[in-house]
Amino acid sequence: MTQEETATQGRQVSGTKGTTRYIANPVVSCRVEGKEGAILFNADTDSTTLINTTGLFCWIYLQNSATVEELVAQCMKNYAGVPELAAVQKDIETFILDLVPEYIYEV
Amino acid sequence: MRCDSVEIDPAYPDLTVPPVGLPSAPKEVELQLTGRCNLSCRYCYYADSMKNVKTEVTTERWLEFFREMGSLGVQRVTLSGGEVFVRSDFFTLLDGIIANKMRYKILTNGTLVTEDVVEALASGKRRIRMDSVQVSIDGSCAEVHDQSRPPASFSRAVRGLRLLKGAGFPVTVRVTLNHHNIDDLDNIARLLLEDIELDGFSTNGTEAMGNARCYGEAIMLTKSDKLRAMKALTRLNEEYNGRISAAAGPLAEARAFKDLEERVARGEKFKKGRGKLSSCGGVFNKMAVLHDGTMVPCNMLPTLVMGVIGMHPLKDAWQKSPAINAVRRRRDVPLTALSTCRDCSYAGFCAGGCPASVMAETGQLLGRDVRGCYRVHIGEEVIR
Repeated sequence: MTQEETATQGRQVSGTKGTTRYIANPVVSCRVEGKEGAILFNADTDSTTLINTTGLFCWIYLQNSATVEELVAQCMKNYAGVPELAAVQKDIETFILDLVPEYIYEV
Repeated sequence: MRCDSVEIDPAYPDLTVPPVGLPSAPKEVELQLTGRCNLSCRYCYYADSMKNVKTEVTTERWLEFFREMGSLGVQRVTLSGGEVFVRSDFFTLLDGIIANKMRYKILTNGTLVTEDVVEALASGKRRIRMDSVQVSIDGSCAEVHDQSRPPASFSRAVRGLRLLKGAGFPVTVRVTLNHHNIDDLDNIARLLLEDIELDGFSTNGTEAMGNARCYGEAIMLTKSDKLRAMKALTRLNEEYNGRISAAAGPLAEARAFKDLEERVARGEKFKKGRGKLSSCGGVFNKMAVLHDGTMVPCNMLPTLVMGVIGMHPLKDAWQKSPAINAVRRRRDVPLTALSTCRDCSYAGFCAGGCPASVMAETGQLLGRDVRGCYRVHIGEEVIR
């Protein structure tokens, strides 16, 4: 498999949909760096990206597949004093779109 | 050899506490997969470890360690030895590395690289996860190369190199400069860059470790050798548009000394990040494991034991081991605290050189590496 094939094996999305399920790319490792969040590393494409602690929270959920709605619900439940639902939803969608397809797949 | 005496703050730091900003785990780990080798090179720095420690980590124990590394987010490993291809389970180990989300680099003498090995390396994810495979070539012909290696090494190494290159692997070459090959550098460059058409090759110098300590100046560079090598490599690198690289050894020193001289000519007194024992920075991102499972800060510092794989958690060894934190804390020591460097007008440009060389020469960690010393280079200080 070439690097190009590997990088695009997840389907590119132009936007997230409520029913779409996402899952962590199994070739991606996660180095937890405490309060700074974590570093994701795609060993196939030799690329890295930083995620914050909320991103890390979502990443852990994405080890099993989840929808954006489910991730939003988990964030609202886990974090006290979170902003309103629409803002959280937008943040999660941005997080997903940033990480697809290199670090996260659509299932 | 003059050893340094060092003035240390009585409030010596707690070496079980990692420095601020240290990554939670190493980004890279060098694995000496085996203590066996089909060659016995006259400058092999690892020879003492191979002779002294006969036990090797088993397949299962390596695989368990790879799982531990993967879970901590270690990104890449360097596979070395000994000679990695003497391990009959090499490809099982390689697949364990791949399964645990890591990339890899291989260091080999090239002599055991056959068509079968090349085919095996090309299969599955082994090819895309490979950062590079480095073959050691020390001469342009058998007469030179085999001066530092057993007879018939050259033809087999070049054959392996050509097989890897022909199969499209990211192959590199390391030329270790020694007493026998410094007058062959033009031919070596021609062989590697023109005949074999490599993108580039790297160089370093023979270290005063392992077998080289036994052979002395019969294999190591004399001062005159080193000066000739610096000159030749600088010229060749210009001719070949920067395709010769070096992180240590004569070419690296030639660059560093040129930079120093230009700064002095401009009236500068120091360079950012220098003036302390800040070399080497490797211990902030990587570490090594010897073939018996001993975790060490660097494979050239085999006596600084951080722990043993399978017995001590990697994360704890990385963060809390006094052995590696002592190397990291060198960068808090100003060169002016060393008796040998106190009055040096170039101390503001110096990082102290390789800690492993200091350790090999003096048996202590705090000191400067005389081989990279500018004052020694220009003859202001004479080392016996």
